[in-house]
Amino acid sequence: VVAVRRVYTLALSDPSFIELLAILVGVASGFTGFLYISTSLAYQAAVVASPIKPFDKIPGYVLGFHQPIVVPSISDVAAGAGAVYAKYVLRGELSIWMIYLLSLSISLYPLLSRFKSTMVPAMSITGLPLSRVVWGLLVPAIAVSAGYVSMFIALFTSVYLLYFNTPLTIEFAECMASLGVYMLAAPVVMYVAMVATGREYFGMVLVFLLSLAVDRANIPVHHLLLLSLLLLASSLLVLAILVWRRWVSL
Amino acid sequence: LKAWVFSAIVALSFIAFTTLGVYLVHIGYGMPSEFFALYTLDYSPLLAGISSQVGEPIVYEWLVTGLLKPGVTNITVSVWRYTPGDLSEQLKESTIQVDTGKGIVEAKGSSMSTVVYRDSSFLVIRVRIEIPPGFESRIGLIHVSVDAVSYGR
Repeated sequence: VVAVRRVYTLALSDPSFIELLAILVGVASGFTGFLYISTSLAYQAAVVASPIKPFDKIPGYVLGFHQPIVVPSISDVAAGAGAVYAKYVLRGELSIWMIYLLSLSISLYPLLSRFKSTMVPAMSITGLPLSRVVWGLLVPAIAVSAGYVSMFIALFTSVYLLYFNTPLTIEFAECMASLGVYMLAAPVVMYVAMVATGREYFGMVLVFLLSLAVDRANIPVHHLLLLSLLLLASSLLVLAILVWRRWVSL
Repeated sequence: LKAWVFSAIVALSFIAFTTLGVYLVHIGYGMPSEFFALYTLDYSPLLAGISSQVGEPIVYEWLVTGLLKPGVTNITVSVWRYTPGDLSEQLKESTIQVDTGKGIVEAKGSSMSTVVYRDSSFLVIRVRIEIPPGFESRIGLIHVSVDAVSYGR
């Protein structure tokens, strides 16, 4: 525990002004992007879910001669809008992931810069096993990623609840969970690609291409959740194998 | 700065931005403060013929939905008809009824306006227009405009 604490102290203590700025700019860009995309998708969903669009031809009936037109209830309209919103969020997954990847990359700049300058000397100073040094970068990266995931879920869910005033559905919860798990898997995939190849930007390119492929594949929400879980589990397994073999080249 | 202070700053920045986002959503960020829609009434000769025979007005009713900033909202509904000679003719004999979910407001004439307080972000109103019999001899499309302006909480 003491040794791991020493690694974290070396990795995170005395941030420079640029490093602090990078964290704040990253979080702010994630916030701005998520807020913009969540509200614009909700607005589009509300327009689409409206039972009659502007410029429609409204049919009529003669009073006392025909039955009145059935008017859907407000709660039905709101529930319909919520369902459309969940579909739109799933359809806009690439935009959401791109906002996330950009913000995460900005936020991880301090850690990545220390990855070269601090972590490598840390090994010789503290004499730590290689595996612990690996966790010194990966665990903070996952923690930052978890921050983005919670921000994403909080904003999108509050938009759902406050805009549409309708209870959360299983579909929407699955949508949030699948996109969130994918976001948690992304830094692990990035990290594995980075330490396996020794190229720090290879991971970002790989995750970008993976996000593009998943988006183009148009996978249903429950399959996406399974895929994200599989991605997270397999990348952690590969990392464990790499650490176990001491094959990681820092 | 110590490592835990740096970590706390990062965690607090996430909490602060998330709280700000939820607050902005709560006060209606991203929602327009004005809603405008234009509808065309399907004034078919068949309905017009039946209405003149039985002496009952033709009724049109539909739901108007959209996202609008919650708060004090002014809703205006107008009905008119384009005619070849006179570009716009107001239908003064028509009856306009608006169900805002908090009560029904009715007015006779070509336009009506009402102010409601909405605590929801969803604008859902039911509009009902009664066109009296006897309009079948005139030609031209009947239009209805719905304009809602929210002044916020």
